[in-house]
Amino acid sequence: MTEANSNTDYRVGNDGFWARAWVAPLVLAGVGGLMAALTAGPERLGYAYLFALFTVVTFMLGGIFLVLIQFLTAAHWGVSTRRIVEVVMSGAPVVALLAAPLIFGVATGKVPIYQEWQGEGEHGAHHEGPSDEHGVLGLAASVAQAQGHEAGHEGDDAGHDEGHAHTAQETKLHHEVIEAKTGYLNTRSWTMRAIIYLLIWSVIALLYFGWSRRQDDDHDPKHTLRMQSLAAPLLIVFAGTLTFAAFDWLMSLEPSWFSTIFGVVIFAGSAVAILAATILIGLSLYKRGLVGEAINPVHFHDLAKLLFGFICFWTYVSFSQWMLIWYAGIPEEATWFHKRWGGGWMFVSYLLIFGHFVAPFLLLISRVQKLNLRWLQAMCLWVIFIHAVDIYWFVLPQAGAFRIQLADIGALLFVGGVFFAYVFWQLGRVPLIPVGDPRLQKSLHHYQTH
Amino acid sequence: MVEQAHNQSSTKRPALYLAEYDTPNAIAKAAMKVRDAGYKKWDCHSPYAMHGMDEAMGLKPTKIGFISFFFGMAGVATAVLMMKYMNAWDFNFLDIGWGYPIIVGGKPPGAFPSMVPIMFELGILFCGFATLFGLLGIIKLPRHNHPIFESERFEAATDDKFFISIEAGDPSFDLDRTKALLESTGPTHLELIEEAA
Repeated sequence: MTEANSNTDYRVGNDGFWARAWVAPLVLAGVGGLMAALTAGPERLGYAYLFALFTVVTFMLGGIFLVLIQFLTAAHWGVSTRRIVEVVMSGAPVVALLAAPLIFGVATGKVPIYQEWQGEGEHGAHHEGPSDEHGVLGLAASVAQAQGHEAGHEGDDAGHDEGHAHTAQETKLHHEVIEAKTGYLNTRSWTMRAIIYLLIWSVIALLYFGWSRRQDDDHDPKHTLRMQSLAAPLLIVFAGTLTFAAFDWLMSLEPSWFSTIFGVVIFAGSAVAILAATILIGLSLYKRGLVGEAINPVHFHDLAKLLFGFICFWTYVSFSQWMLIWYAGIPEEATWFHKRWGGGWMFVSYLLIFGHFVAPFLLLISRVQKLNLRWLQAMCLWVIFIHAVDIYWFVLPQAGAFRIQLADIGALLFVGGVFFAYVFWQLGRVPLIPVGDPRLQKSLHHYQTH
Repeated sequence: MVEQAHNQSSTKRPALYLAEYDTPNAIAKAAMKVRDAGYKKWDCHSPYAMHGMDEAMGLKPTKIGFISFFFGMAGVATAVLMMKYMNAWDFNFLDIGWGYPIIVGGKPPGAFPSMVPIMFELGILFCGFATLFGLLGIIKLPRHNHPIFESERFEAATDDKFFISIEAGDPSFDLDRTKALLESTGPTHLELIEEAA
């Protein structure tokens, strides 16, 4: 073990791949950005960008979670893989920069994806009375079209929808539901909250990354103690900001709909994303011999076990959310899922059931599968893909029928490319494991084989 | 009891060799030698779990995972059959009319989503029982006694000493050759434990 340590300083150095790894995502980001900007109008681009941004947000939030929880539990098993997670987490300010155009667009009304509640304030002033029909919802026409099934309706089959006019009563009720929420859901407070979330995440990420980096040099355990004592309160802050960010950014796309477990579903997806990303990056570093035996198959096995667990957890909470709504069958709750069951989205819903649960469950359950590094690598790539599909499924059904556009892929390439260009660039600058951590030695000797 | 057993030396037969070591390193090296000599019915005893001993002893991966998985899936299947039988199937057995489809909450009888929680619960239940009893079966518990407890030195296995035991039931067991093998691993103490025939 000690021989391996002296062979490497745990830095990327002149490694042919990792020294320049940041270039590829940056090129992809450029291509994707052009692709998205040239092929879509502001509304579709808004949805596509939100999807891309939130996919990246889940990686970063998962990183914050994994770092905080390891300090909270004083874990030693993950110390040697923690630097990878920290680097992903430290991309929070980059995420904030990437979120800036979206927040600006929403705040100024140029990106009309939240028009249903944004327009609600004006609606009360301009259109009084129960005589309102289809066209006078005070919404952008496109959004009204996307809202094929308005909350407050009987659960019609898709075929009946076209001939179905909103009754005045239904429209009025629908507006009352949304209007009652405008104290929370209005442009000013949405914008302020978005800035606060991003600020809090950036502060947590930079503090922890900074302390961990300082410990690389001075090997002082006081940093560990400080990070440990702050982990518990910060996890509470993390849970709150994640939940309300999920409410604000995703759930409010359908403002009449509500689900209390929504934040937990997003959290489960975040944990899945960061674990898969950590395994992938770690595997590449390990195979290129950059981390010696400091990160070895036992660590990958541990991360894979957690990944498997969080995939099951994602299934558990996602199914719970769906089943309670299916069982109650109340239109105002069912509308959100109704949208994901028609318009071509049913295929994606089934893809999530089989691709995000059944397949990974059967293909990652055995120890043999988790310890086969090539197999694990393929599974992690698949899991990251299906996680992006999951976020896509949260956002894009609000834009209408299922139709993948260049803008969706372009936006994901742009946001993901910029973010991971930062991550890869940062990995090239810092030691790849936290060399000053007092628990590192224990993690290095963590070669238990079961 | 023990004294009595010692007195009836004429009816005794060898039960196992017990070799004692002072350090985890020593026992790990010794375990590799015993492993390479091809013994099957032998074990290592240490005061705490030692990482890497599985490999040093050449232990095969446990079958408990397969047992748990199989019974978990059996639980899921049981739940499906049970729920279908109790809530969904309408069939007539000898004109008695056993089937009784139930409509709950306006859902069709035996709707799949309403069965999922039961499938989950029974899957966990069967899996849990199979894991517990499968484990007990594999490690051959419960049993009342084992000849290894005849050794007074063995009490240190829960304190600060490390032991390797090779049982007489092993096909390769031979009073002289096994003794020679264990002596070659440099134990601090080696004893032959006997049990009543």
